[in-house]
Amino acid sequence: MESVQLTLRHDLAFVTATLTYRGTTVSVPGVLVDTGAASTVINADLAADAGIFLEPGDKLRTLRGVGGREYVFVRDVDRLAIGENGLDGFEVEIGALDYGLEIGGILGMDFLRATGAVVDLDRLTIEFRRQASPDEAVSIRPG
Amino acid sequence: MRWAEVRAAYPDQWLVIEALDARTELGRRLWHQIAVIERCANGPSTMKRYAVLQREHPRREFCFVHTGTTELEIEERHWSGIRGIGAAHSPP
Repeated sequence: MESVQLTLRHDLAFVTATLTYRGTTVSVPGVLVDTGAASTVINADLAADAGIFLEPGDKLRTLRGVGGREYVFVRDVDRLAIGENGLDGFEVEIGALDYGLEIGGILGMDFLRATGAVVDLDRLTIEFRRQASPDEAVSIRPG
Repeated sequence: MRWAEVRAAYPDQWLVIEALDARTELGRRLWHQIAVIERCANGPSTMKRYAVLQREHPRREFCFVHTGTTELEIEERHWSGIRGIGAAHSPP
């Protein structure tokens, strides 16, 4: 099982992801590992590097939490991965993520559950126990 | 304005809009009364203006949208932790 290093910033755990969209793969640094997030969000500026831009007809969603809400749009990507571990045909949300700290994205429970993520906060590593199929990823996605 | 009126007044355009009256029902965010705040050139610039406005006015509710959208279908999801543009900028 591959073990990927986590980075602590502001006492939060970050990791670097790779995002593939229509054949283009980009690195997404500064992705917050967040079990308090139901879904996975990518910073719009970094998504643009992979050719993901808001287009007419994109599905919109609003994420409501403490301190307010954020509007995002939704896009299926070819693959989202941490190291060698990832999900093909994964749905991500694209948002401004302007929270007052540098943040490349948020790795939410949809990704963490589907990949069987194991976070070790003592060694500051994250491992993934399974490679889920896109169908499985869909089936565990909350309502 | 209602969404149908916004679409009629601003056909085929990118807009930043503000919810004057919006409610959540059955996991959907329903915009009943809408103000048009800005017209923008394309999707990315609309998102950027949305983010700036939301940071400057964290208590107001803005959204980016294209008026080609027939119905404003917006799913709402609940998160824990700090969420919301401007949340970390505003005083406690």
